[in-house]
Amino acid sequence: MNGRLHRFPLAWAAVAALTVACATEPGELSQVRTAYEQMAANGRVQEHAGVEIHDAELAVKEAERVWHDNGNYDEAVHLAYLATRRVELAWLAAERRELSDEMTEFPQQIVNRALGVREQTAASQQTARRLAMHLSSVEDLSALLEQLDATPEERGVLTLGDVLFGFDSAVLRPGADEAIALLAEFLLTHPARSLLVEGHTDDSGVLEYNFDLSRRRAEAVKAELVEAGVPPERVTTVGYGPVYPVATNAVATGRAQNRRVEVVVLGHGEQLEAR
Amino acid sequence: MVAILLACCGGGVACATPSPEPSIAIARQAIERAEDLDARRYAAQDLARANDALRKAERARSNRADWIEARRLAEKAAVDAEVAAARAGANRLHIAIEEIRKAADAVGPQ
Repeated sequence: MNGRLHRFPLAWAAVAALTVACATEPGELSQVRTAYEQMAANGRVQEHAGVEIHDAELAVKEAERVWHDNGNYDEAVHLAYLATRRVELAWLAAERRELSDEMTEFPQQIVNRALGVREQTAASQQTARRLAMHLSSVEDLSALLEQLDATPEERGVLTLGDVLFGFDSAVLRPGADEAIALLAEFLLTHPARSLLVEGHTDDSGVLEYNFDLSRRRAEAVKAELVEAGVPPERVTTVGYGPVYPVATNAVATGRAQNRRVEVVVLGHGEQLEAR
Repeated sequence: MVAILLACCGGGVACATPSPEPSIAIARQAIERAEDLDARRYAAQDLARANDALRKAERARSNRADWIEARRLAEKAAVDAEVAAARAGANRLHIAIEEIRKAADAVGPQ
């Protein structure tokens, strides 16, 4: 056998190549590491996409772990691909949030004209299959939380209308205590879940003011949850002002529906998705 | 090559292949979500890539020997769908901002 291989240097080279293939790190791994480092060093991404940077970091580490612990070449290459896409997701998230900020700088009248596209989008989002309900009582909330308890991957969206805030106010109503307590308890007993609290307004008044009001409303909900013992890093807030209406702003009943806080209970391990 | 791969698997312990079904279900959800976010219109290429991977995963699932490949394809489809959703969001905003700029130019300096 050895004698034969001696006479066929190419055969030896093939054996050597195969042995090396099992020991040398996949090129994809070092490529994704470089891509990750470049992304994570970018100030704009750091500012806007902290969660996504973290997700990408975990994905890179997982690929490295599988390679170093198991030496599973194909799986490491696969995981490196997933990590590459996570790096891309962080860039995209930063871009989206920067653009959202840019939107807030335009005068309201002009933003509204461009919203034809976005109103449609909000409507199609509503048809999305997800656990969603309009919260009119604390019983509704506990029913939804029970459903979420049974389906850890599912995300839930609670629409809190006039339950929590008075007109033009960012101060929580006393009646909100029970709803907040239920949410807090749910978060504390489901450590893999986190919340995205979105504030929305109707389109009356000054745009900048509405963005600010919606942000303050979302932050008021977060402050109460933190007070109740929820770690602040598990609640993200965002104020969308009037840009995601769920009903027409032309009539009063529609405007009342648009003034709302949406609490998105994210699925297990689900990452934040700013829309 | 097959022999080498089997050798790398080490005693067969690592070869107890889990079903790809959960990953396929997650990929389907992710694609639906990207579609809800208008990815068909604003991130067609990424969405097509996700759908392609999902279709391949669904073909591979019927043969137990291909379960690893099916699971990987489904995981690819899911992350590609996430990218499609994210890019759709960014592109939609780009277009809206462009429209606003055009409208503002039409109105003229105020």
